[in-house]
Amino acid sequence: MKAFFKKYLWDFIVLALVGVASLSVVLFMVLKPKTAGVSAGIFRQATLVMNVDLTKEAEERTISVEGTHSPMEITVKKGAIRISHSDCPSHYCVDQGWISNAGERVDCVYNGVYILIYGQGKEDFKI
Amino acid sequence: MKKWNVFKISFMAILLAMTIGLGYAESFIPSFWIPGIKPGFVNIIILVVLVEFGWFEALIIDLGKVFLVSLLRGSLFQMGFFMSLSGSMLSLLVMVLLYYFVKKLHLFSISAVGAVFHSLGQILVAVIYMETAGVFYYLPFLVLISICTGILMGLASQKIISTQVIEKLKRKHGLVNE
Repeated sequence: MKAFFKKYLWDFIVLALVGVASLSVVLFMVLKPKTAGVSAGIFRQATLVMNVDLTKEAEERTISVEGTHSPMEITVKKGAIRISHSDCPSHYCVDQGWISNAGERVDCVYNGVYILIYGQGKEDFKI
Repeated sequence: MKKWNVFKISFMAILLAMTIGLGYAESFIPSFWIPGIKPGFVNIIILVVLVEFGWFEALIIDLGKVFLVSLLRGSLFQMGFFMSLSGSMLSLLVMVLLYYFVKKLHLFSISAVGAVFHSLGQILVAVIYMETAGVFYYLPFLVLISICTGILMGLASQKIISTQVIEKLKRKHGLVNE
């Protein structure tokens, strides 16, 4: 057993450092208290395209947004938003589904479009 | 080992075909929870080539895989291609440096570190294109999963190398200087 640890000492050190660092950040992100989003910002390459007030949405509606490659459809309902249609090859953005909590985001790298959800009093917050 | 004989050329072609098959199959894996998570089976072959043949051969296989899988998927010179290229090259660079200059690490941890840098390279391209550092949001999740898949793929390639099948083939076809 001792020989085993001695043989793989540096592997353990490297993997443990990277693993613990990423695990702690992931745990922080997963476990931090979630607050419902108030508004959502739709961006295309750092330019704000549209601000949606999620509290005021009565029924589901679809917004068309021009991406860098193709037009996209974004669906909004009360308290949640999602990318519902995109012509990107991977469709990761569509697969991600509804997002509703403050701080969450959905990205479509192919179209350069991303949606951020803001919490209370963070309407001007922008990454 | 600079010699390129018929055996080596055809063997490389077989390995390249395998990486294309694996890479293309992987591209159909849907995303759940975190976008873009893949097991990275291609890395098994890249590592085996790196150990058995050298960095130049690994580079050829890696570049060939990136170009041909993109060509198959019809996404050549689009975002997915550049993300894949950046991830593969960064990961290969780190793995080559670790393999040749850091003798203390075993193959499975070299593979894990390579997988982490693969994620990093992809995220960097996304950050530059999207013009927002917010894409780094996904990095911790990707790094955590990269370590796990990287270790698994590294262990698989260690297993392949330890069977000495390729070693015997190289010996048979005069690629080992004795």
